[in-house]
Amino acid sequence: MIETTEYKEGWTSNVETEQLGRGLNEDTVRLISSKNNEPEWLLEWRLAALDALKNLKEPNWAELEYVRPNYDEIYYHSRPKKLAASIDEVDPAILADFEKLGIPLHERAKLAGVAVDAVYDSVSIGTTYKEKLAEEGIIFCSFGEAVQEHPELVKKYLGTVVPQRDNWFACINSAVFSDGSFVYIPPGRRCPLELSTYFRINSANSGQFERTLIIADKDSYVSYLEGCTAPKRDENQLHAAVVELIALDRAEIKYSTVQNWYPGDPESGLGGIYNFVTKRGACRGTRSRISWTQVETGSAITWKYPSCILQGPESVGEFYSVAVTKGRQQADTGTKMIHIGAGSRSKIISKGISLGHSSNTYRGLVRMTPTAKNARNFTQCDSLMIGNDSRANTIPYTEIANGTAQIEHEATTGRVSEEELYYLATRGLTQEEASSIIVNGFCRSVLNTLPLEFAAEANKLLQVQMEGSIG
Amino acid sequence: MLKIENLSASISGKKIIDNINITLNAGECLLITGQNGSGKSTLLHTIMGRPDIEAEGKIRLNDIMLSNLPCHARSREGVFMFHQTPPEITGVNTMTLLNEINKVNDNKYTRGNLISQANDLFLHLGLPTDWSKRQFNVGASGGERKKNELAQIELFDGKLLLLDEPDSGLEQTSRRYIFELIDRTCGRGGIVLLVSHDKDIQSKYSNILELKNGSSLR
Repeated sequence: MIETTEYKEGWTSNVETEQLGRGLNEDTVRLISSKNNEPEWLLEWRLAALDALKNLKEPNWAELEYVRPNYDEIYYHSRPKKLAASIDEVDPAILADFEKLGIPLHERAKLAGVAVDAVYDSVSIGTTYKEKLAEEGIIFCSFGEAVQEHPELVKKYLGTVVPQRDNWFACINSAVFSDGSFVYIPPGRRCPLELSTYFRINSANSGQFERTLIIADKDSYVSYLEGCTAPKRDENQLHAAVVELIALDRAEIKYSTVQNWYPGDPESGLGGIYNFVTKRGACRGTRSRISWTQVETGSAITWKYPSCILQGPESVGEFYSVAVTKGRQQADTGTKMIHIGAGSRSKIISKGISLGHSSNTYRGLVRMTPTAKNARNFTQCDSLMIGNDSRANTIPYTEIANGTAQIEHEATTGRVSEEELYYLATRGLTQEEASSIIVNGFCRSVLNTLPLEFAAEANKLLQVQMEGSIG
Repeated sequence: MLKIENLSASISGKKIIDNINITLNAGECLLITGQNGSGKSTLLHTIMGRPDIEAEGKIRLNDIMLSNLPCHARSREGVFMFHQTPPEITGVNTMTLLNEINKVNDNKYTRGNLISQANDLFLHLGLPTDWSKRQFNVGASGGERKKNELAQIELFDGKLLLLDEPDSGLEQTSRRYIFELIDRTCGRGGIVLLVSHDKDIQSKYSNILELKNGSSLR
């Protein structure tokens, strides 16, 4: 097996940063809160989380093997030294970083129709199209800004979907969270732009703990995109984010992720991001709808289960996922669909692809509670292995507590056969080209659900994953 | 000109092809016969460069030493294989794949041209009308798969055709089509290696290599 593909976003920048808050303790929490100039209630909220952490344990049930992070060595807050008031004043080195990633932050050079919040290490360095969106009553800003400008909204919804004590990583995040994005779509509004956040971890020995909160009020619609990269480093970096989505009556949220964190060295497995993320949406309203689409290609370790709590009658939850692992990557990812509302529906389409010596696990829960009369779920999870050293697992859980609910589950596992690769070679295609075609065909049903701007990026990313990945 | 010198081949240490020599000029067709297990298919796959076959000897097509190249590169030099049992490729549309093959053939066709030519051919060969939109060979019968191979040969005319029992299991019209195709290939200076069990065919071709236990009988 040869793994020669270079991680293309692996450069480090000489942006002057300050690193604060070493170790997971009260001093760190107070420091972060004061640096952000937070109100007292938020500090209390953080401290409550820190306290709750004492009664939690790092989860060990996933199909993942890794050295546990030393939480006392991590810097919990890292920010560029020069913080700018507007994008025009942002450190040119940071702007250059985002330009290099294809995320131009100057609005004149912007991708048409996409507003961007750019998060660098622990802080948001700029949000585009903010004023234009504000004319529609739409709030799109950094989390920190929302705390200052819209505290009533933050206070009302923060932690209502992912409680502080939900799990070890969410609890850490609740104590030390840094900037993420905040979105509020008022009743009856369709957000005219795709909203997006681009996360970049630059500093060494630091973690990124962003917190994102999206609220779609009655009869509103928003599509949100998220992208992430990090430099190549020999040590592991921790990423423990929390994303909370709330959809009220007839509102729809479409949340798409292209995750391309540094996966670590393909041979030795050294370095790479630990991606321990809690993402959950609550369909609170009647006929509300939340769709998660994720294309996961990066990170050394992925532990991530974007989920939907389907409270509203006839609410709809969807999860579309493509997870590619190669080299020494390990992914344990999937979703939870919790059906509470009558007539609620959910759909899960998961495509796992494993190459090299990697391990790729789908883990999913479908729960039908007694109130979920006539609720329906359809699950399809397919695994494709390329080469003989990769592993794939499918671990579905179902809990049905009412007789009217329907669950359908389909699963396939396949290995790309030597015969197929040979056939395509006799037609002039290299192994990489052949795998890329097969993988694209395998994932198409998921890729088709991505917003146009992301579909091209995801396709390119999948192609890069295949290059030189087969010996 | 195709020149094969002292070609031997083994799979998992077992010798299947033993010291074969072939010289063919432009426009010539060689019929390869022999009993089951005599090494006919393996000989074609060795020339094609199947990765699990360990080969010794030289294979030269015009100025190109094929035996130094991996399989996909041999294909790009104009070697075209008609597979006896082509596989299914799940999730990939026939037209998508043809488009990829077109790309490595220096974009012989424009996209629109490729679609219309391919659909005409599929129709002519009696394949289902939605064939180009179906997943490649998925659920297809043996006969349909062979017609799919035929169509590809017709689209991307190779310099050296390796035909592994193209005629078996096909109805008369398609069989006739194969022999027209061989004649046309030879007519434009191509070279054809044809494996067949059919007695009728054997009377058609004078240039015959009969294999037994991987060696040449005549």
